[in-house]
Amino acid sequence: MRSVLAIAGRELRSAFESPVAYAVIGIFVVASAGLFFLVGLPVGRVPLPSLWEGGEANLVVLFAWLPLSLGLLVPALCMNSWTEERRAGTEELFLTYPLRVGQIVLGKFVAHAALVGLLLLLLVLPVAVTVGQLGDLDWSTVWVGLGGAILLGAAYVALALWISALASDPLVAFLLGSLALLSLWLLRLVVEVFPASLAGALDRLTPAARFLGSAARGVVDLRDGLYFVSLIAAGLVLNAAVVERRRDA
Amino acid sequence: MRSSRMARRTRLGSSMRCRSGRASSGLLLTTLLVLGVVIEVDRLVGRVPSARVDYSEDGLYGLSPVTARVLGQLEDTLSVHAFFTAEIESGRAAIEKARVEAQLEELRALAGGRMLVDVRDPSVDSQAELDARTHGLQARPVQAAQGTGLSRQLVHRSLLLRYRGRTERVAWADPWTLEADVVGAVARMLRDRRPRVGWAGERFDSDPRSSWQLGSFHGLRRQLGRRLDLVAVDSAELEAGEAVPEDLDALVVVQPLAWHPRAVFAVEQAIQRGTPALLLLDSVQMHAHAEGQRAVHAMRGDPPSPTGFEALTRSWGAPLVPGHVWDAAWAGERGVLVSQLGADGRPTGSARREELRSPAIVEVARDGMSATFPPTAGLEGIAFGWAQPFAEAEPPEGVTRLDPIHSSDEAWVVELVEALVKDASVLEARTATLRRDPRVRSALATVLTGRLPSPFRRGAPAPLDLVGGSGTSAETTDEPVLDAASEARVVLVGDADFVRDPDPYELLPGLEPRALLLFENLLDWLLADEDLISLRSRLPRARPLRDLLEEELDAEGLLDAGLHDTVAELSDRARRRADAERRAEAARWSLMAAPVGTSLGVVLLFGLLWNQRERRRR
Repeated sequence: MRSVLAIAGRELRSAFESPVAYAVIGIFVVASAGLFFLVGLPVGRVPLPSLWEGGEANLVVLFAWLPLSLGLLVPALCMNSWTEERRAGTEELFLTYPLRVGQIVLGKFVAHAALVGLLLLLLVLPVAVTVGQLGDLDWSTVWVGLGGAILLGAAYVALALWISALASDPLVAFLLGSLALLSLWLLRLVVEVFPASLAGALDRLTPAARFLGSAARGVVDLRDGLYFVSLIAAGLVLNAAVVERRRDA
Repeated sequence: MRSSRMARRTRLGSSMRCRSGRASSGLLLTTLLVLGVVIEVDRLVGRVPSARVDYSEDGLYGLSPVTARVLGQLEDTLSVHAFFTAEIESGRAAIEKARVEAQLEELRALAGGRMLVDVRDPSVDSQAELDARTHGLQARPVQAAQGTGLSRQLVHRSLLLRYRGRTERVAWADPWTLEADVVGAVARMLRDRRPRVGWAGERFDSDPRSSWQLGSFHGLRRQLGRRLDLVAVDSAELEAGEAVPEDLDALVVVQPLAWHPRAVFAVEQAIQRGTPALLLLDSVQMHAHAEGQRAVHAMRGDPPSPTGFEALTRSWGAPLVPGHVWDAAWAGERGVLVSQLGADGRPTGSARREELRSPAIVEVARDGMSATFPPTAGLEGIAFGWAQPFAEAEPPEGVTRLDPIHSSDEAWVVELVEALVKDASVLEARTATLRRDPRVRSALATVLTGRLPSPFRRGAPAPLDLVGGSGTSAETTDEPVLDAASEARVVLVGDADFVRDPDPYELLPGLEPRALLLFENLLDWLLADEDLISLRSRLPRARPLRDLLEEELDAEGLLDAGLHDTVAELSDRARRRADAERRAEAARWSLMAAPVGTSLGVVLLFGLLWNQRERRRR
């Protein structure tokens, strides 16, 4: 565990030293707040009005945007994780450490998941406090939604790290990662055009549907929790498999 | 030597390629395997009994305590026969079906073994098809995308519930209303029999194709007929001396116009016998008039008793006012057709649809609905058209009066406007004139409970005999009259248009979902079925944002319009209003900037401290 935390610390240090992380965080916070307060969610079966237009004290729109905005943010934060190691030649050195690949992968995951979690806290809580001043906000829904968003972010991190391990270049990692995560978001919008037998399964397997169907409404569902945990585990196992393969090659 | 080195290099290269190829295929295999495991885990988890906890304050996404209470009353097995088409082409319909099945599973788990669910597919099982058809459960057409076009499939998604030899059906299992539908059906089966509700005021044989005939409430009757036995009570028979049937669980009187005192007496005596009653008293009957463009005119029953119930409501301490409410604050907005005029000022024969805000349509806000009276407690609001108020009065001894729905504080009671005014400036001018009069917050519905005194205690009105010519309103008979005979429950509503069949061209509200909800809630309250009310009225609590502009205007004292302001005062008000609007806009932007600034500030501060520390450490 100590090795995992040491790797996580190293990852966090390198993240905070890079101006990219600050730029990404800044853009994410400003864009998310702007969409929430001024734009609303004009896509989907039920378009949602912005906070001022809807006139209701809730964070529905903020949560509704998260599967999409995290689909861009997380690959941006994770794109360097493996590709940069490889470019700088530190990956080979890293893999010679007396550590198991699983520990390295887990360390990177913990660091990025913590970063995304902190970022979500920084986005959701100040907005919730503002909305709470404007009306009678349901704080239970905010807390459950925040927890669900962190789980969603963690699942996205696991998948984005796997893609970063597969990619040869940070830009490719970002593009592939965002494409994969945005496809998962888009899938939910177009799931109805699939044959019925596939539509049900795809709807169940879409992270956005899991998050928006329960946690974003203030509902804790054990099945959704297990789903996210299995998605994280899958991402980590695949990530470890890719790194193992490179070490063996 | 050279060739052997070359051969060795080739062997090494091919061995590496081979190893790399094996690794790639191994990786692909691992990926597929892991994804397969995720899908399988998801499938297995789907079988785990639901462990959902709804932590939201509104509690809309979990099963209600009422559901647990109603299902807890089951003493025998409840059989739920689900007629579901298994192979559905439409993705959306398939997802909805999956949600319905999940909810049925939750209900089954909650019923603790006293609920059996049996799913059959009528599209492949002829016996299931026969069973569904026998109970009037039909497939509905559902559209699905097929290639670049659309296909249409008949889909079954209905439920048949059986309990102790009684059956109830849910014609279309909708995931959004399933809980209320199933639990409502169970509650009805737990009763001894279907409630019998008398329906007076509209003839049952009126043409269902027309929504503009007097008393056209076909949509409402159709909805009620699914869960109640509606019994026609003919006002002509009541006038002729017949009594309201005694075996009714409740009586509904819809928009009576100039009823004969004998018919009113019959209704009043039914109430005296203990039959709960819902009276929709509305003497203003709008009707279409097709001269040139479609217009709406009003007519009413004969004064001094346009409905026939005026004297009765007076004696109960809730006098029906012969006028309608003009509500400036809660004026309802509706689309109306305005005929177009040509250059010569004559109608061109074409019409344009315009939004009109009319104070004659009272869009009762949540503030206007009682939060303590169960039928209105969970409702967001209701729209009444040309609603008649009930005047404030002291109820008789032993009678309690509660006004659960009322207008805003900025309302007046006005004489009936003969024709529908479609000119917004005319409406505004009338409101401006009315502002000189004191404002009245009017009761638009009232509930009376207790022993009601009978206005007919001195003698029952004689029956109307059109052939013999007897039965004028002054004549009485010496037959026995019940007076304060039992505990009564009466709901009076000063409008009937809210449950009329909707018409796309009219200004009147018509039967909207919230109107049906209010009506059913009132009826269930009369039938003492408050469980169903609380289940049906599960709506999210209104959480309106502060109105920053209103706060600024209030601070400036600009909310009360000064009717007699001078030009200078008006100009000053306009300037102050513009200032208030600017301040409200600034407040709005500062509120938006606050969370963004806080987040960015924290990130920036953290970044500075972190980098400083790292630099020092190095």
